[in-house]
Amino acid sequence: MTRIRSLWLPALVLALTVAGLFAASQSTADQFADKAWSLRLVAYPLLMLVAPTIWWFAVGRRDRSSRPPALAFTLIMAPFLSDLTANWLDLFRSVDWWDDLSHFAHWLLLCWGIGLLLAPHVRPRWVLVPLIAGIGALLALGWELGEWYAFIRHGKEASGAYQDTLGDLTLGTSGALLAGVLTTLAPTTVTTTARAQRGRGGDS
Amino acid sequence: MTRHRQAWLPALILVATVAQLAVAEFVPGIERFEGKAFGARLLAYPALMLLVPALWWLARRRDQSTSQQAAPYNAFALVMLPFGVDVTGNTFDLYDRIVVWDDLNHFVNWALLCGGLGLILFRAALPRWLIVFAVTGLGAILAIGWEVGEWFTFIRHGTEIETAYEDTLGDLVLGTCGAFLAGLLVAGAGRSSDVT
Repeated sequence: MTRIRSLWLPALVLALTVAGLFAASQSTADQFADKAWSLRLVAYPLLMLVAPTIWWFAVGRRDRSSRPPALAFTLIMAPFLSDLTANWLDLFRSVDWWDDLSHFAHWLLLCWGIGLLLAPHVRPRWVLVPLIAGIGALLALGWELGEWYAFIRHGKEASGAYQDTLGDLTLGTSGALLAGVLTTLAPTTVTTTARAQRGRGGDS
Repeated sequence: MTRHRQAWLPALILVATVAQLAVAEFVPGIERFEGKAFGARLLAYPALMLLVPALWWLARRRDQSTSQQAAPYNAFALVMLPFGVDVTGNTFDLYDRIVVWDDLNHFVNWALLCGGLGLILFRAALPRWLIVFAVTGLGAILAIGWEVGEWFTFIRHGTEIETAYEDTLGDLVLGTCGAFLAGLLVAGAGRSSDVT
């Protein structure tokens, strides 16, 4: 019961996001037009639940005494709520640099959360910096490939997309790099599971 | 002395690369080398090839616990090899003669480079499942850095901007896939000391 109670913050972020997505999918407001809200209503919650699900199968199910990393889950989920909130406030259209800021800040939050999950498995701690920055770069590349597949490959935006894509990749990777640095500064303890994995030569 | 017996391999790659770069820069009348900034490459390539060994030695000097450790010469060779492959490709005019050479280079050179870096940086520090992520991610960072460099150097004021988008995405994917292969190999190599 204590374990479930400790998850109130990521649960709140998830609930707010689902409610906001549902409302956006029903809205006829201009800022929601042609933004695939029905797809987001399914995809966002699924993506938000990836980290808790992996944690449950890798750690929580085996070690009943372990506390869920609620802060890490919240950081991973926050960018989805942030994106939704910015759409409600129409910030992507009313603030020129909002999209750029989002790429940096969302990758910072997402990768900081991932970093907190991975930190107990990593020694020496400086390795976290290239590891987290690299994961951020991979996610940024995956995002841009998704944009190319979904929107650009059959469209006419290719010439404008080139510099936008390079900018977004750089901003996302920079956010992830900062997340790597922040993760090294946060205190972490090597969990029982991580210790057991390292004791087996690192295989899992 | 036995600690340095494997130094011949990276040294050979360095010498072969610099020799080809010198020919490209100083021997006149070889068309395949023209307009490809071999003067800049003659300075940049050896500096980049020696960067990782130099940083490794600096780190080892700071860490007394590893001061007797043999240098990872095979890993240095892997890091240096892509520069040699690129120059050799120009020497034999492979970029013009083989259509897929450029794409192949993005994949293979990233596999070599990231394999070497993975052996040095991550093999002893991470569990195997994380090594794959770390090496692939490092490849993605380097691929993004390379493409930003190409944009800054050639494309932002040039005429290739119309075709650069999909070329760039393709190069990023090829480089990252090469790094992924390297990650699998580094993770599979285990932790035995004879790999590096």
